[in-house]
Amino acid sequence: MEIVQILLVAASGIFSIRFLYKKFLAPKKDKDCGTDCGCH
Amino acid sequence: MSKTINVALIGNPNTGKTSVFNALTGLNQKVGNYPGITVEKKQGSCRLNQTTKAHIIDLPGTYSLNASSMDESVVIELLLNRNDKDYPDVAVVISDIENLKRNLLLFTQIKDLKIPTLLVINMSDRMVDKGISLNVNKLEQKLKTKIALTSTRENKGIEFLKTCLLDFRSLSKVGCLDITKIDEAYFGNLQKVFPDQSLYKLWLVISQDVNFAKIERKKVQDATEYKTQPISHLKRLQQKETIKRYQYINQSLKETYSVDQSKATDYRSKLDRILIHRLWGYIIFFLILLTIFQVIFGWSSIPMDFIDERFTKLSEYTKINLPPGLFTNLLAEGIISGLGGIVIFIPQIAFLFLFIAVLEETGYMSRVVFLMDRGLRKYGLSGKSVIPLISGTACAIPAVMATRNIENWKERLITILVTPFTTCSARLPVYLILISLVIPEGKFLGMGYQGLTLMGLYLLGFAMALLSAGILNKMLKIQSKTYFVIEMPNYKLPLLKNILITVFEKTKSFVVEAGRIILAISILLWLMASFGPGKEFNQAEEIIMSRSKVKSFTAEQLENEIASHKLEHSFIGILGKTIEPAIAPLGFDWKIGIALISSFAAREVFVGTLATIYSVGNDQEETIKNRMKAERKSDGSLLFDLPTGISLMLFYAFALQCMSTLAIVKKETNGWKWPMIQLLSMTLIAYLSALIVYQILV
Ligand SMILES: Nc1nc2c(ncn2[C@@H]2O[C@H](COP(=O)(O)OP(=O)(O)OP(=O)(O)O)[C@@H](O)[C@H]2O)c(=O)[nH]1
Ligand SMILES: [Mg+2]
Repeated sequence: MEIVQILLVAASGIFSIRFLYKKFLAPKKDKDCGTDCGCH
Repeated sequence: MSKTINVALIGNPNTGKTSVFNALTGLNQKVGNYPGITVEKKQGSCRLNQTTKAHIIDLPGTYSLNASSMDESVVIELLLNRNDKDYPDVAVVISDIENLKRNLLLFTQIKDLKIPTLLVINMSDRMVDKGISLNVNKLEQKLKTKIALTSTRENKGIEFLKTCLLDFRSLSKVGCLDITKIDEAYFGNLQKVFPDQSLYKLWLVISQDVNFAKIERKKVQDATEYKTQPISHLKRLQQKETIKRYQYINQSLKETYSVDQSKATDYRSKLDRILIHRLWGYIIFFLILLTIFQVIFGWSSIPMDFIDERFTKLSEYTKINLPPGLFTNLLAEGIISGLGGIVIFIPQIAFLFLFIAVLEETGYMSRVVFLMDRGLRKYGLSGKSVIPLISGTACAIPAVMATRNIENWKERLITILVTPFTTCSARLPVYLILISLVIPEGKFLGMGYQGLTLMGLYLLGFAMALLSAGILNKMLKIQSKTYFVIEMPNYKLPLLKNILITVFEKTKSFVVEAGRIILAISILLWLMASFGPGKEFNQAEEIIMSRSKVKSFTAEQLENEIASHKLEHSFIGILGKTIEPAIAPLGFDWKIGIALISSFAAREVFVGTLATIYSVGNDQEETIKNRMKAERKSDGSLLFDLPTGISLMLFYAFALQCMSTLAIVKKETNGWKWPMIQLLSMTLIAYLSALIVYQILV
């Protein structure tokens, strides 16, 4: 049980870093992004 | 085999192009009752029948093909470039039944480009009210086109429009105006030099300063040599052209279009007499603002407290019912607390969007723009800058993009630079929580202090934007000011359904967008707060136990003491303590410092960050508000007292805490120079004003 929990936590951590990197740092192709808030 | 035809929607601003686009494609692009909503090419598709699909392109509004601003030139670039993959097979000119005459000018120009052109006359639902009658068949003959009479409001005519599109090959390609008639010598000569070019296209190219990067450049350059006439003569030819076009239009409308003045109820000019009055106009606007902010505070605190409690319960429930362990803690302390930091603001955000939507849809927003325009010239901004400044109350990103219809580059730059001072919806959560913590609930002349403070903050944002614009205007001298005419759209009773959909969609996308960022950030924060290097963190228990003062502590106090010692020596604690000296003079502790850093990504993360930090290692479940209320400084006094609260609000009012804004400013100004200048100066202003105010108040 313990190990499952630890794995889940590690996975969430990785997911978060990946998400934030993609959202804010990775270069983007902004096609069809339009004037939506937060799309850039 | 299915085939695709390209359809471009073209028309004057505010005629309902985007509404037709949405009706055809089922998409949900932004619509609003003032000109200049769409500033970019938008695409979508629509199935016309089993075998044919239409690729629909929504374009920014343009009054004519003689463009002067960036959003308008999008249209011309598309229409003059046959090689563009979006070059339309059929151009749909969208007009508004009430302004048909003016709208047809563009129609005749497009038709002269010899593109198959279809005329849509939109807003047919208003014909009865305005006493308008129209003989569609006869007008079709006069204009040599097919006409679709539509109302996107009542969803009428859209199916007919689709059948017309299918049949686009049968549209006549005959132009409206024989351009040589304007000046036979000049145009005859031109045609002789370029026998295989369309005369009207040549004329468009010659007579205006558009940058046609994609047209065969060589020919264009050659053509300019044949500008055998002085500019003033060419200008005169242009005027003649417009007059000729209007003659043609008047001819066509004479027997087909009529307005029965007696039926037309003219509440518009009556309303305008008050709403844009030199004195009453401002008073009414002020009263509307007052109401909005009172309502945001008065009506939404109950649902807010309710949601806050539900989230606390949820977190408690998770801890009790899931198997104990690391992930359960992450869920309860990190994720649920963090998400609570945005979800509790849903009611207020929805209210804000509701007000914005109503003001936009009724047409009142344009009156506000007009009112503001009078005062703005002193600050080097024209009326066109008002639209970005006002639409910035929702979000700075579309606002920065809306500057594209400002022709003058410096004026546009100044507007881009000062727009982020406008209080956007992401600042609202920060203000709301801080106001409810530090501003008393009392009333002044029947108006709550809290609502007044909120309004004060919005006005402060505008004031700062104006002040900086004034300063920038002095620094970057603007030679020519943009010539500004706002077209006052008619007042419209907003459709409740439309408004509710807009509010729902906007609130949803705000919460989902913010929620995802907060989710990711609170996971990382929780991780960094739950682990730490070295023995201070890992042996926190022994260290605390060995202190003599803890002898008299209850078990609960002891646990809290250990938890806070651990937090201070966790990774996040170390980071926070490092920056604390820099922000202590503003009245902030290290936890607020962490929230400042994390909310650099987006301001709306602020509350979620604090909620996560406060709940790590903490077993008593409390609502976010109560947790913040209970925070104390090292000397035992309340952390969120008046001086700290005000200082923090000022910081958020002025700081550019938004990565997405930086990204869009970089894109619009083509480089990092301006966004960096903007970031540094806004942060400096924020820091200094928070510092000064805190030092005075404390
Ligand atoms: N009464 C009525 N109003 C309509 C109709 N179609 C659109 N509108 C309203 O007209 C206004 C302008 O609509 P938009 O679709 O944003 O117009 P647009 O041509 O895309 O405007 P820009 O992008 O600014 O050039 C909005 O307030 C719509 O709700 C209609 O058929 N009837
Ligand atoms: Mg539009």
